[in-house]
Parts: sequence; C-alpha cells; structure tokens
Amino acid sequence: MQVVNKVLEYRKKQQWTQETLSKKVQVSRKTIVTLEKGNYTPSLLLALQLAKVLEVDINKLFYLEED
Amino acid sequence: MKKILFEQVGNTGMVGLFISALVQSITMGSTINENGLVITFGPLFTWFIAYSVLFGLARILFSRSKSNGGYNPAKGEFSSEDERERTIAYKAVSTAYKVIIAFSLLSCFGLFIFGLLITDLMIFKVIALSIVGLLIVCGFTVYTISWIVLDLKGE
Repeated sequence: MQVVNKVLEYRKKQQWTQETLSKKVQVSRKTIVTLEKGNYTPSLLLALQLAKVLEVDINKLFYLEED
Repeated sequence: MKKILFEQVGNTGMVGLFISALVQSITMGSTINENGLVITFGPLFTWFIAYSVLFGLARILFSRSKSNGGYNPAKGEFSSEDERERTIAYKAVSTAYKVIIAFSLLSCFGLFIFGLLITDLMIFKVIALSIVGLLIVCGFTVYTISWIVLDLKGE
C-alpha cells in the first residue's frame, strides 16, 4: 500500500504556484515538488495544513492505494 | 543543499587543520617528561585558530543571507528548512553512523597491525592521529553525500 495525494490537482484549482502553496504551509518549494511527484509522504501535521489551505477534506487529498 | 556543503566543507577544513596541527606538535617534540606535559605549538595551530575564527564569522554571515535555506549556526549541518529536510538529515546521519562504525572497526584492526609492525613511536602516533582525522572527515563526507543524494532523489 502507498499513500497517494492530489495536491497538484487542488493546487491548480486554486490557481496557485508551488511557491505560493509552499509559503502558505511554511515549507520549502522543493518539498511541494517532491510531494506532488509522490516521492515524499508528509507528516500528519503537514497533511492537515495542506488540506486546510487547499480547502479540501483530507481524505480526498490523501488516500491509500493498493500496490 | 548549499548550507550542507558550506558547513561540511568548512568543518572538513577545520578538522584537517586541527589534525595537521596536532601532528606537527608531535613532530616538534611534544611529550610527557619528569616536569609534566610539554606541548610545543607549531605555526599550524595559529592557522587553525585563525581558520576557526573566520569560519565562525562566515557561519554567522551565511545565516543572515536571504538564500541560506534555513541555515542555523547553532544547528550547523543539521539545519533544516522544513520536515522533509529533517527526515533527510536523520537518514543521512544514520548512514554516516553506520559507515563510521565500520571504518572505526577497520581502523582498530589497522592500528593493531601498525602497532606490531612500527617500532618508531612517533610514526605510530602520527599514523594514529591521521586515522582518527580521516574517520572524522569520512563521517562529514558520507553525511554530505547522503544528504545530497536524498535531496536530489526527492526524499
């Protein structure tokens, strides 16, 4: 099982750049880049912060997928 | 990544100078005699002190630059901008720890063999100090390479 996210999709809905989103959740742009690529699984805190700023339910933003 | 390279290159230089200064001190005749401990400081100690002061100033200046990437002089190579970099630092230090342990064990065996083969005490002291210095530099290098690889891999 792996964690899949839709951060890219919801960020584009907000029409934000990766830089803008990174500043809103106080992480580096590189973290947003790796997160959107699926190469980084955020902590619960960061996941909740992303869900809050992107105005989406966390279960729609992050979910488990069978390998 | 820039902050890690800055800190570790600086640290490597400092340790290199420190070990060189100690080796020079030994070759200049530092010893223990009936009067007690006699340490002779060579010119390399002066260079080491000067380098340490300059590096300390450089660290403060670097921390004040806008593109310091979250560098904190108090945390040095463990400075992190966010949770991802904290994870990278943890994984990098774990790798460095394992490598240092392995090389330390090899060094112990190497020193044991050198101790049997080398009859000149001064040469043995120099070799022992050099090995310790190399171990420290190896730790810095492995940490740096691990950090860079993990960062580029997108960890």
